[in-house]
Order: sequence, then C-alpha cells, then structure tokens
Amino acid sequence: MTAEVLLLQLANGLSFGVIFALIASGITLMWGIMDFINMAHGDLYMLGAYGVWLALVAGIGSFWLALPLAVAGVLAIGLLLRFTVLRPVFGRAPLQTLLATYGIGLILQQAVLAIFGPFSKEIPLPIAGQVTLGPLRYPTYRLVVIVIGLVLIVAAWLVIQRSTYGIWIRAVAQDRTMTAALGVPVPRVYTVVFGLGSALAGIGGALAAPLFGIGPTIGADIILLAFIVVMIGGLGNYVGSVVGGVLIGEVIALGAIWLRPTEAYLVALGLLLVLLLLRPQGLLRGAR
Amino acid sequence: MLRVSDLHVFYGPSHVLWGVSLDVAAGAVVALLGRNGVGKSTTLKAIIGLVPARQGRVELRTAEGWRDLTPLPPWERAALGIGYVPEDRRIFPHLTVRENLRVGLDRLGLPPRARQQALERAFDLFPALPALLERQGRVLSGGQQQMLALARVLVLSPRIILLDEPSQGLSPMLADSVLDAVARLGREGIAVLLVEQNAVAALEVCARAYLMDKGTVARGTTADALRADRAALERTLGVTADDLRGAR
Amino acid sequence: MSAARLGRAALLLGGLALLGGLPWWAGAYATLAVTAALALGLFALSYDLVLGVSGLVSVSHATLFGVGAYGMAIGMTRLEAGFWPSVLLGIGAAAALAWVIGFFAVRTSGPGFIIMTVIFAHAVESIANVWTSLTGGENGIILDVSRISLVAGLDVRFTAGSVPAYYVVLASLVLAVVLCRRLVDSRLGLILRGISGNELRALALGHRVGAYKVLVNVIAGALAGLAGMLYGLSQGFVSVDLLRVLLSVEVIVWTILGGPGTLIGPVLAAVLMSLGVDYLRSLTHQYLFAVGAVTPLVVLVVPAGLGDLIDRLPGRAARRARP
Repeated sequence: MTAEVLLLQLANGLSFGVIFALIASGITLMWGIMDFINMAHGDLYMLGAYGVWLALVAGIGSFWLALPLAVAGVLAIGLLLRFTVLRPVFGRAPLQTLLATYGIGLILQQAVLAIFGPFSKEIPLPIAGQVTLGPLRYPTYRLVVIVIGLVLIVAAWLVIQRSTYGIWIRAVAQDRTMTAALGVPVPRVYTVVFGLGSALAGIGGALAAPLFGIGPTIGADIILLAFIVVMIGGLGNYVGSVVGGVLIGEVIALGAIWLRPTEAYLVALGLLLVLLLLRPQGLLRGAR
Repeated sequence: MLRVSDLHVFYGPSHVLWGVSLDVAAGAVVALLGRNGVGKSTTLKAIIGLVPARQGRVELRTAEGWRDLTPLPPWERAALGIGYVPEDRRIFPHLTVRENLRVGLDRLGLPPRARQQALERAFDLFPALPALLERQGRVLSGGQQQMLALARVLVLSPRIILLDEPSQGLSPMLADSVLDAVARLGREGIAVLLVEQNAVAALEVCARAYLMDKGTVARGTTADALRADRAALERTLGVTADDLRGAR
Repeated sequence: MSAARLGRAALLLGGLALLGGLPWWAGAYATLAVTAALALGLFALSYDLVLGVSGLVSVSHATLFGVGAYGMAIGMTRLEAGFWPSVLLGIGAAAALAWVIGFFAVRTSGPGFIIMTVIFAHAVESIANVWTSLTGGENGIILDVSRISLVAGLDVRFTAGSVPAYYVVLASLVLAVVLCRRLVDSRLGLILRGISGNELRALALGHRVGAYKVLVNVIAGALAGLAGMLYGLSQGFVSVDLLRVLLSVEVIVWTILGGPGTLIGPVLAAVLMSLGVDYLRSLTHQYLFAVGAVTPLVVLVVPAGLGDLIDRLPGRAARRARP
C-alpha cells in the first residue's frame, strides 16, 4: 500500500462521506424535529438515481439538466408521501413509524422493480478524465461530487442557522408546543423539513448514480449505513450527521484497502457500538 | 376581548376542568386565583389550545367581531392575538435571545420599520434585554428568562396575554418588577389574564379576579371586593388577614 | 363453570382437535405448510415475551431464529456433533446473542435501540450472505434428518412434510404456550409487565430493571432459536432466509396484529398470516408488494390487535391484567 493508494482512498472516503451526509442529514432532521424515523428515506435516494437515468433515457441530453429534474421528481414524490400515506404516521410511536415507513419503502422498491426490472442500470460519467492534485490523480467527476456535496451541506447549514424556517426548525426541535403557541404553523415546518430532507436524498442519489450504479435495492443497502451515521452524530444534530457521514465514509473507503465491503460495514458497526458504549448521546453534543 | 364558556378538559380519563367560564375585557388585567392543582394553568393551556377541550367554547373579539377559537390549532389562535407565557417560561435554550424573539416575530412578516418598532416596544418595557441579544437562552438567569418570555409575546402585538405564574422562582424584587410590567401592559391597552399563586400581589395589579376551586370558577368579582372578603380568601387561598396587611 | 368459560373451553378444544387431526384431513402439502406456520407461531410467541410482555422493541428477533437454526445445522453437519448436542448449540448460540442484544437494550433508549437492532440484524444477514462457506448462502445447509432419536427407543422420521414432524412442532408450540402463560402469570411476569408499563416506577420499587430485561431477552431468544430449529427441521434445510430483516419485521407485524401481551394472539396471527403469504407467493412474484402494503396498514389501523378481540370475549378480560 503506497501513499498514493492511501490518498486515493481518503479522497474516495470524502466522496462517500458527502453522499452519506446528504442522506443522513435528512434522516436526522426528520428524526430530531418530527420524531419521525423514516426507513423509506433510502428509497428516495434510489428514486433520485432512477430519476437521472430516466431523464437521460427520455432524451434529456445533459446530465446536469437531468439532475435538477430528478431532484424535482423526488421532491414531488416525497411531498406526495408526506401529505397522503405518511400523514397518519406522524406522531405515532417509534416502532409504528419505523414499520410503516419500512412497508412504504418496500412498496417503492417493488414498484421500481416491477416497472424497470431487476437489473441495474448504468449511466456514463458526466465528466470524464482526471485532475492532478499534487501527488494524486483523481477522477474529475468524483471531485465535482465532493465539491457540490460540500456546497450543498454548507448551504443547508446556513439555511438552518439564519433563515426564518431554519429558526423555526430549530425551535420545533427544542420545544414543539411552545413554538406552536408563538404562532408558528408547525405542520408547515414539518413539510419544509420533509421536503428539504427528500431533496437532499434525491440529490445524493442523482450525484451518486454514475459512480455507484442504479438498482431497486440501492436505497435499502445504504439506509442502514445512514442510520449508523445518524446515531454516531447524535439525533437531530445536523453537524453531527455531516461529521459522522465523513467519518463513516472514510472508514468504508480506508477499510476497502484491506477488507471486503461487508467487513468494512462491520467495522463501521463496531465503531458505532464502541461509541455508544462510551458516549450514548452521540459524537457531538447538543448543538442544533 | 376574551370569552370562555363552560370549558371541560380531560387529561385521559381524569376530568380536570368542570365547566370553566370567564370573561376578560379589552385592556383589563384579570387575575385567575386558586390553590395549587385547581386547574388555573390548564385553563390557560386550553385557551391557547395546547390542551383540547372536550366541551365548551373559547371566543376572541377581533376586528371582525367574535371569533370562535375552539376548532383552531394553537398557532392560529396565536396569530389572532393570543399571547402565551407559560409557567416555566420555556424559552428556547439553544437559541439566542434574538432568535427567541424572531420565532414569533418572523411569522408576522413585517417590513423592517414596523419590525424595529415592535422590538423597541419590548425593549422599552425591558431595558436590560438589548444587551443580552446574542446570549443563548440556557445561560440566562430566571429573571432574564421571564423578561424574554414576556418580550417574545409582546413583539407580536397581542390582544391578550395569558400569563402563568410570572413571579414564580423569582426574588421578591424581580417579582415586583414583573408585576409592574404587567400593570403597564394593562395601561397600554393589552388585556392580561394572570394566573398567580401570590394572590395578594396579583390583586394589587388587577381590576377583576376569578377564584377557582376544584376545577371550576367559584367566584368572579372585582379585586376590591375580593380583597375585602377575607373569609373567601382564607377558605380558597389560605390567605390570612396578616398577609393582606403585609401587602405593599 | 360459567357459560362464557364453557364456551371458551369448547373453542379451545375444538381448535386443538382440528389441529390434532390435521394430517388426516388436510393432505401432505398442507401438513408441511402448517408445520412451518406452527414453528413461526412459536417464533411469534417468543417475540411476544419481548415486545408484548416486557415492552422491548427489537427488530432483530429473526436473527435469533436463524442463529438457533444455523447453530443446530452447523453442529450437525460441519461439526458432526450429533442431534442433541447440536440442539444445545443452537439454543446456546441464540441465547448468547439475545444476551448481547439485551446488554445493549439496557444502554440505549427508545428509538436508538430500535435502530440498533435493525442495524445489527442487517449486519448478521449480510455476513451470512457473504460467508457462504459456513452458511451455504441462499441454498443453505441441508439437514439430513431421516432419523432422530427423541428418547431412547423412540425414533422419529423428520422428513419434510412428515406427520411426526408435524406433531413434534405442534406439541412444542402447545407446551411453550402453556409455559409462557405460567411465566407471565408468575411473579417474574408481573415484574416484567410492571417494567413495561412504567420503568421508572419499577426502578423505584427496587427491581433491577436491566437484569430483568436481559433475562427475558435470553429466555425469548432461546425460544426463538428453538423455533428456528423446528422450522429448519420441518423444511429439511436451513438457509439465510431465516435471518432476514424482513422476517424480523414480519414477526413484529404478527405480534401487533395478534395483540401484544396476549401470547395466543400473536401465535394465531403468525400462523394465519404466514399461510396467507405462502399462498400469495404461489400466485405472484410481487407478493412483497402486499407485505409492504399490509405492514403500515396493520401498524396504523390495528393498534390493539386480535388478542384484544379475544380478550373481549366474555369472561376473559379479567384474566389479562393491564399494566
């Protein structure tokens, strides 16, 4: 193992990390603000990937045009779910939410399976070639994914910290009833959180599609890692989910040097278990 | 301004409010008195809609006449002009003072000038606040939290403020200043429904008072009349003549 | 004896008679299906101890089911340990794993624990899928169970669909139900239900809540492992299907549908629903659609479940103490 391999995997870890962060941030926000454990969140990621593929197949020439279309589609589906099937699920006990969303995720997967078939699709890299960063020659597209991911993460953070809805989101997370008593329409805040989370997951799926492939089960495969990230970062803790995402991304990437994928997954799990024993409240404290 | 009629509230199987009725006129400061556990806080919560009423009505007088608030969720009642300051203040611990104020204020969507005016109004009443704007809620002292809790509601230009035990946990001096602020609010035309354990102090600032006992309103009368009725005070509040004499 | 109790006794006896005579009136294929369903009923019973009686929400119960089955299978094939030692191995492995889960249950709270169990179950499933040299992957391990000595002199032929297999499973289930009922009504059961109802109060009363949670998890785990072994034996093989997270979710649905804490309810729900899914699977590949649709429906629409309905039968309500 050379320094070059190490650097390569560190960079790859970052690319995994931003994707995990995009997915996990949605989960942690929904969990922390709405007490909503969304097992179907990974399937929104999956739909984002299919969305890009579908747009390209339908004739949209450019990947960069297909991406916003796919995200819009995922957002629409997410909001549709929020207002129909998921509406009776809000406010229920955690187990019921988990099972209900698991069931809905299953339906989404089966629908995609039925419509598009079981075989994974591929789309070409939107940007070919490599860039030279010092000693490293890195695929350009992956670098672009990292940059876009980081930009989105920071943008979402700014929204949460500065904007009105961001303040409302944080207020609801800290004291839902008092927020309501001050005149804030709490259901609307939920919708915004759900929409934001869905859009981030959709973007994650769309960005990751050329890299990791497209198939009906990619959502189910990634969601459990996303939950590990959420638990490491602390429930409802946005920054925690980002840090956790990068951490797990690096664990997976560096682990791939020596281990097979399943074993790397186990290392991530082991890390979570150790952390839980030491710090039950998650890696980072409070800071919402 | 506010009309509560025959409110019945249940906590699970437990019947806690048995037909509460009261009225608050525009600009009036009205006290809701009674011993611990008699249902005063629950009444306020039912008015703002944080607990559902099984029976009864809550009505508010707006520019368009009387509105029935009973089917409305808490945020719509607040938007119509009900401000709520709960017993434990419940300021947002991880938001700054400024952000605490913004939670309600942002909803109004005011132009910058009107916004500033609303803030000025609160700072006028609580001059210590501007210095604390960037502090996090959880580092504030009890008195500062109480000021913030009131200011939070004040910036929304409410028609009526529901105040639950504002002097609780505060030193006598701070408690006094809070009640002074309440009196000022009344003078500015904002109605106040004040729940207060310290009956004597409450009777100093209010014009009318309701006495609650066992989940319902036992008596509603002027503050003067209540102050004079020593028997009622002793029976329902445990207030003695000595307490009255010792009042400021 | 009141009319209500007579009625219930009649229902019970009638049901048992029906089940008792099944191999004769139902045919070989149905016998196989019902044998498997009864094993799943035992599985649901064990889960009711966890969810219904103690209030622990774990989404990794199928892991114990599968580990029990695999423990026995590996013992019999790879280790060539003989039947009874393999059974012990299976139960031991399941109990040990249940202990670990209980250990973490005590350290994490609420939703965090639930997710942990999901992650854990998924991890085991992934390992099992990948480690095909040990588990046999999707094809699993064939159990050569033509002849097993249950007791000295009593040989049982356990081929898939065989009548003796059916009766062994049925007897195990009935015995387990009786024992669990005794457990729930015992002092231990009362403590567990107290913990489920109000943990703080149980703590304040001096009960070592953590130890009890672990204990019930271990008992339930051993029972689940036993169910897994019976399932495998009745099918003639064990495969990674027994470890799937989906099965963990299904058993929760069965328990909720049947009525948490009623013991009989989840068993009934498990038997009926697994037979139903089997039937569906024979009709279409898309049966998962139905599972996906039914799960939220059950969870949202049937909070109290079948067991509650059974309880409402006259005379029964008094017996089930509400926490």
